Amino acid sequence: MATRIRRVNKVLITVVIIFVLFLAVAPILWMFISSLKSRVDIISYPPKLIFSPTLDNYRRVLSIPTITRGLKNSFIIVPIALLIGFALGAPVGYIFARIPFRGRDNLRFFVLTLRFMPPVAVAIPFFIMWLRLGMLDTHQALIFTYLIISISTMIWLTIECFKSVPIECEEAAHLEGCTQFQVFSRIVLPLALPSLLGMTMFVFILLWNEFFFAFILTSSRAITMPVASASFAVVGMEVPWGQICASIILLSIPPLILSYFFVRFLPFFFKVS
Amino acid sequence: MLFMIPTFVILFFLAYYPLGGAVYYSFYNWDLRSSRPMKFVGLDNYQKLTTDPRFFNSLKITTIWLITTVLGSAILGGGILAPLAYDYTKGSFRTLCLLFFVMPALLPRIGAAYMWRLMYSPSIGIINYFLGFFGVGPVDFLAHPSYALFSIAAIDIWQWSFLIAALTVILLEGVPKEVVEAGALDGAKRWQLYRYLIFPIIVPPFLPLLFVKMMESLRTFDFIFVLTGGGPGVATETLDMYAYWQGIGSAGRISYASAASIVMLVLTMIFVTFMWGRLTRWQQE
Repeated sequence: MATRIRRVNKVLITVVIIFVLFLAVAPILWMFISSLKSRVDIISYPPKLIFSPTLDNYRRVLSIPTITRGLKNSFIIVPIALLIGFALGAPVGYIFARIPFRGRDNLRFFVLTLRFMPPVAVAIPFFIMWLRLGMLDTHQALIFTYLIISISTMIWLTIECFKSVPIECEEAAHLEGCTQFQVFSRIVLPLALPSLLGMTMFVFILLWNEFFFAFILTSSRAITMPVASASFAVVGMEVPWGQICASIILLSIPPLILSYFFVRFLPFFFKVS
Repeated sequence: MLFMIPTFVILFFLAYYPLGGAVYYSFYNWDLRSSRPMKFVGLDNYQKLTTDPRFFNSLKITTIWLITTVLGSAILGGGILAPLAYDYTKGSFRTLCLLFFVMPALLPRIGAAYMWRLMYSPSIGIINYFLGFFGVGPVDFLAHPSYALFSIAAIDIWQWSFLIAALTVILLEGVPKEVVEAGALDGAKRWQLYRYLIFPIIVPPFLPLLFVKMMESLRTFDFIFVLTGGGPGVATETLDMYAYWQGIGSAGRISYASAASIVMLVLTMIFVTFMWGRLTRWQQE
């Protein structure tokens, strides 16, 4: 009797867990399904689960210049901001991890506060600055503004990456007569590479998803994918759902793919935050 | 050490330029819509803020938002989803659970907003379809002054509670097995194990997570912009939305918006320093 109750319980719990998993991804699935619907199917009520799927929405979305430009710009702006952030942030992360100096903790806290500044307070002066320089809506302006996110996050996350490198390797290299820079570039970077890659992916997602700065600082030439996909809808009006679904799915694919790697690096990240 | 110089030159510029800029402009009366020359007006903008009911409304909305989303995702994620996933899954099924759990949070906020806007729709939305079975609705979730804010908060809680659950499962995996087994041998019930043994161990690392969530909750612009634009009326107008409408959106009053964002920055800083202080003091004890 007791074992049977336990078995029934186990089945029940499994059902609950599967339902929870379903809740986690249901909105994503629903939007994906809707993106394959024709214009008529999408606005039919009650919502249809059985329909003949079509790629029309994707075809239509990919022929809209704003969307293709947004995709292209995102694939230009995000990697460049990421690379500059890495080049400028990783060495500092290493120094923070290994070399004690006066004021280190204060500098670290300063880097941390950069992540906590309200974006509006940052965006308005930057908007004015780029306006005055005539650089609103340029790639350079957005990349430079994104450094505030990429450098600070890079520093903060690489500290842990570098701490996990065994210090003995570095000491051995020092004894062999390597300079500090050689130790960093030849020994530490290769050894920390896996965790650095995981961390870089996380920053990629942060920048890829960024909406507010891009929305304020770009309008057409340098528009990024999140802003382009949001440009469809006017608040309060019923919207061209087919196109929105398709463009949102396109926008969401990179982060969803990277979520697999994110999970693998999760224990590592969490130690960090 | 020299490598730090260019990085920090850029960082200091990125941090203090906007700060200095905002303070500077907040003392003037610059308006994008008018061509009159910029004039120094001292603290006028700040004085106007103190008599602007819309500003106080946005403060109130931000506070409600902060409390609802932080408590909601912490309780749902840390209190319900994490123990469920930790107790009843193992091996690769748990990895799959964690993968599903992090997906909502990694989505662009814009993406999450539209996904829910589609489901919330009063005319074609699937949520209203299910509510129809119970004879409720259709409810216009995003257009009703008293539901709109909580309908948006539900999306934020959806994104964050699953993430917090995933991270809490990782924390639970770090709890020493012996502690729990010893408790179980003594005949403690499941909830007693959680309450008296596991809870005290995972709270110290859990609090910084909550702190990060609080900071993230202060950035609501993406959601609210896509879902309601601050409406209906000003029912979902948070501080950042308010400053946006004043400064860049429709009003164009850059100086006034700068003053509002400075107030917001100061409030955030007080809040951060206070919470951070409490947190570190609490962890030291």
